[in-house]
Amino acid sequence: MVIVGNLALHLALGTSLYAVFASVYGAQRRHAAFTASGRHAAFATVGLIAIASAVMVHALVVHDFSIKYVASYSSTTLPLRYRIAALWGGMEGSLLFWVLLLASLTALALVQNRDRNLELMPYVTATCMTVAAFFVSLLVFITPPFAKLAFVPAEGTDLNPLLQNYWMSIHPPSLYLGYVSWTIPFGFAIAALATGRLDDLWIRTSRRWALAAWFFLALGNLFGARWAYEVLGWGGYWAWDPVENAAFMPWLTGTAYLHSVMIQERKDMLKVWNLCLIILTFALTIFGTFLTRSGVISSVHSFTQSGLGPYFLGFLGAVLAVSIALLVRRLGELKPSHRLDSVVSRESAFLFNNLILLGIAFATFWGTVFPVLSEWVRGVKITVGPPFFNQVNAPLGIMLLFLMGVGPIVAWRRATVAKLVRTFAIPTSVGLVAGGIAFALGMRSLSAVLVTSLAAFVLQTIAHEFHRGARARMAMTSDGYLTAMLGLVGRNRRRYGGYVVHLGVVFMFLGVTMSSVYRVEEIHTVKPGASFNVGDFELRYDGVRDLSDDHVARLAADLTVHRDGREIASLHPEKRFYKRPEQPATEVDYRSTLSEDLYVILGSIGEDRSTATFQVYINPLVAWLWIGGVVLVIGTGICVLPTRFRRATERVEDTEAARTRGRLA
Amino acid sequence: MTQRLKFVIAIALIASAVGVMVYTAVDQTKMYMLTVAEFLGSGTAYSGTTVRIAGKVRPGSMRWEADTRDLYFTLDDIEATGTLAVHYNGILPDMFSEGRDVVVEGPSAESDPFVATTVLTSCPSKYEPE
Repeated sequence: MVIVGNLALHLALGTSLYAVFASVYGAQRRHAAFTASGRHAAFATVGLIAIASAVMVHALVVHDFSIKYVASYSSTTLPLRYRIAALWGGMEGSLLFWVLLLASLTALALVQNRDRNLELMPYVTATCMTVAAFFVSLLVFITPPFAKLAFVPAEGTDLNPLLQNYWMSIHPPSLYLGYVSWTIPFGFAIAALATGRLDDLWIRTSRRWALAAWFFLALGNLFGARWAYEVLGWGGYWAWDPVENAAFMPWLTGTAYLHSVMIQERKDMLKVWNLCLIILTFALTIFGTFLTRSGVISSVHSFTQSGLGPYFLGFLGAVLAVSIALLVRRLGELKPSHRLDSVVSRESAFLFNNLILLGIAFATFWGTVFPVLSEWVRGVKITVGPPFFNQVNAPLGIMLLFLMGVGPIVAWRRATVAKLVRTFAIPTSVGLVAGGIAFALGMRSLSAVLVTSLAAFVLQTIAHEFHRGARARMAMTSDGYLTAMLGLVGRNRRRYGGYVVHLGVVFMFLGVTMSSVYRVEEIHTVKPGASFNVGDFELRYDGVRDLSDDHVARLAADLTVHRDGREIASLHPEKRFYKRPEQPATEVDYRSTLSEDLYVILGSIGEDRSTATFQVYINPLVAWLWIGGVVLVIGTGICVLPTRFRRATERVEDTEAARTRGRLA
Repeated sequence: MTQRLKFVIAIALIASAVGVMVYTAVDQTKMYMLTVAEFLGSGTAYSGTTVRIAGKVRPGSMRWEADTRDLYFTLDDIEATGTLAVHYNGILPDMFSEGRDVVVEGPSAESDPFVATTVLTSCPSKYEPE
């Protein structure tokens, strides 16, 4: 079987390189047979990568420990679902999985555009296959996934126990999908530059791809945060770890891109800017893989360290050089047909939103690479921790929240003072009142008060947008309020879906701010039967139970939680020690409500089990981070998914709807 | 003032604000990463800043007092060219044990033992394929 896998990889390198050559040659010489052949080669690449992946999954499933990868990341006792997930549990497998996703998405884009955008598609194929060829060549020449062991062990080193939970099945795949999907819009951008079709065709065609990429990156980060919160057990969900930052940066620039393309579609401006953003976003996805796999910067995700760093850096340099060269060549043709009219307008609100997002991305980048830079430049190794990122990104985030309220309601082109007063009087009052109430209730942190106030401001504008739209539609169609609202959303899914995403982001802002500013952290060492107080909660330590089995030594502490004299929960945080591979782990327990989480870590058990040490956190409103995530998913769904109910509710077909559909297609 | 100039000013303002914030935040939150020997040889060069010192926990030196959550140990330089006594109060990290490479973080002051606010343990090297 191994020979099949290896053969498939070698052939895939050939087909992907051929696809690049044939597509470009065919497009340049206007030779349709060659472009068709390039497309077929891309399909063949998908098939070959799928075969290689299937061989690997099969080896993992049947415990073929003669393969080093299988012996390193699985065992005979590992359940089936984790044996399959072990495909992305280690470096070689994760690269293989990466190419599998990339090739499949490329094929999907090719099928989707089989009789459309015939001018652009050869270059899209060529770009995606270049990226695929790079990854496949790593697999063929540098880190062969099917490398054999000289001696076949009877048992494998297991998958890291920390990875053995359901998050392993969903967090890496969504993150990888997010990373990989950006290749498609990048491919369209390169195609636009190569062909000179510099209108907004490439943006419209790849819009859903960009949205999907953005969505999966958001989802992957949220899953990772939730995983950290539930499993890793340090009381938080985001540590500004380099690998987290690596996934956060393309999401930020991608968010900027999704906003600024609206300006190009509507106003034919910011053309160069949008091209720069998509190039930057794609470059950051490659930079992210470099960070995660080079070991240049230490991280909790360091299990994928390797000597791949230089290759990724080289590829990144090549990507940037080619993209920038193409862009510079077309600069003369990228003149905007409009100029920005006024600093106070929707266009400039979008522009400022972009600058702030890039500012956050830059600060995150700077903090991440600072240790390496300082060592290069000054010879001293200086690092910055979470306080750096919080100190810079909190004010920038607050500005972003403000613009999130301004953007959707400020007038296009130029807002007059009278109009500004009319538009902003109510939302501003709502924001000020909310801030005042927060202050009156005892909130003294500037950022907490500001976020509360701005959240109310944004929520008012979103609610008003829905209300106003529904009223206008009622007048037009004689529908009821709810039907009008649904019709409105169905008709302008992009706009109202976007507002729903904003709603989710506001919830996330609230959750993150309050759980950071008003977090309570206490450590208590107690004897069995004793109680201690944390905030309003009274926790009684009832004793410790031994739950050990063959695989893991487990000690679980039993706690009974009271508030206001009533028993409200019992919590059972654990201390574990896995036997193979030998590794300690902490299993947290928490009680989550909409207003706060009570989060308990069993720090240690004293000698003779006479005492136990607990680290207890109260994380206010942290549930809203996850709720915000769900709302974000719904909002993106509204933007992307085709709706059927539109036809049922639609009575009048107007040009606006037709145009919207044209844009969405 | 032309609109164009206004934009240039607005953009320059945002960019320089980001720059200034990044610069001051680095200055206020930076931590020097040192080995035990570098720290011992530095004199007062780092006083007033936070340092991260990497070393190896000397076997036999660890004392953990569970009731008060006090941890005492001796940190040996990786190249065995210096030792540092360390005190830490808090939760004992899962991966902490004698002989392991750890990083201690704390204010650089003339204190003996060195008072660590955080003890960072690296993951078992087993999971890092070469």
